Amino acid sequence: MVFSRRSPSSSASRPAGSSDGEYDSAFADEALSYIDGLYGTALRLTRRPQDAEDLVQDTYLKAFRASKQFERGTNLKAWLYTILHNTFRNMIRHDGRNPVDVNSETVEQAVDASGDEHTPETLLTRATLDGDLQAALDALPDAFRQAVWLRDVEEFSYAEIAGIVGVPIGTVMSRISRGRRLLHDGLIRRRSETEAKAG
Amino acid sequence: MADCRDLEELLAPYVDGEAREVDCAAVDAHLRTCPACRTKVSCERSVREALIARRQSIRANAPADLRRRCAAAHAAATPASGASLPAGAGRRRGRWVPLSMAASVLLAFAGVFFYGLRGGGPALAAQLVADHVSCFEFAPQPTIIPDGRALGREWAATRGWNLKVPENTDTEQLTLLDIRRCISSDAVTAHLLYKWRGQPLSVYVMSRPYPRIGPKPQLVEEAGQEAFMWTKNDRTYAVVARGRPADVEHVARYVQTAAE
Repeated sequence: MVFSRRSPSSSASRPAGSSDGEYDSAFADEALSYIDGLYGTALRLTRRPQDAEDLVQDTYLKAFRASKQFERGTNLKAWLYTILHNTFRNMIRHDGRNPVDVNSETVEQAVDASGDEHTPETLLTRATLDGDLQAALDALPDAFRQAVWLRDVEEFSYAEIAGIVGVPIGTVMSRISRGRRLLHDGLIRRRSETEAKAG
Repeated sequence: MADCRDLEELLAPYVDGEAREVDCAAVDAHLRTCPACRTKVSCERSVREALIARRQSIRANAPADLRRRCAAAHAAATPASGASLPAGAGRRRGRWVPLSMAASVLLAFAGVFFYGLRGGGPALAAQLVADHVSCFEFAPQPTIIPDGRALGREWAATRGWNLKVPENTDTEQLTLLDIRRCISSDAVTAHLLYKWRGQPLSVYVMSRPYPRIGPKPQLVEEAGQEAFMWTKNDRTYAVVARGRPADVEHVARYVQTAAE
């Protein structure tokens, strides 16, 4: 785990040299500096801007209420993303649209069952459009989209991702790997559909 | 010689250049003899490169209004503005424990099942009761006793609608534990979690009226819990708790007066 919460005894004392007010303000400034990344991640989780905004706002409310439980000097960004993901899991429980647990093993099994044949294709970078990339990402099963997004876009380590989504590190690695392959296939499929329409 | 499946967890670190030397050598050796895995690696590498190259443009910027509201959330949540932290309140347990898979699967089934069978009040009651039970059973007990008025102010500042939070009362033995927001596809819902006579009690305030729930309160029994529901000014209110119907109705009447 890359961060820890203060124990009851340590939360009573503050390192010398900073007042509560300064600490709160610096904490808030740093926390708010991650808002774009949190919002982009929330959009990929909820796929709806209004829900993404609510999710980010709830994340900040919880973080600010619990700021004293955050251990200074540890990874605030990962702490915020963990709150975001846990809040999202709580939210979807209330929502009939999406009753599937994002960490369900059935997701992994479904992908296994779909086979693992890939077309060799290595020239995605220049030819891929942002819209295609986003649409292909959104089409991935939640667990794979989260793993790939947190790794390749948000630049978290495997251990941080494991803490954020609450699964073992080995599972994170295999989700990243398989998620990238699924995304690759989705992009190739999209491209051939576009070419078929154009031609 | 390693099997393709054995390498599954090594491919991401291999592609990212973060595999240990010994793992790297194992993957290299396997790739020399396995065209399928060579294809996998090249697919994964090209996707990672594409994502890194497009990182800036596929990231979204938070809307200015969201930024403003989140900054306001800080002002509302800091102790100076009134949130209370009673002396001796321990903070041993984090407040965001992921729901166990079994619990969420169970809940999903319960919601779909009841909703499919009935309409109107009982359907809403069933969903609220399921939510009430899971929220209390699978969430850790809050260790900080919140200040209802401060949470109400937070809600108003960040949600744009006023939420009257019924105050703690010794007469009814009612103590506020937490306020949560629920997403559903058609309403914004405030979920107020209380302790009532030592037992869980939920107050729900929903941002819209529901069919067959009128201004006259109705009491519905669902899965051993009582749900007391009514509408007022285009909002739907519900109190959910386990207890004798008359007792639940009594405390619900207090909530009704205090929440509207």
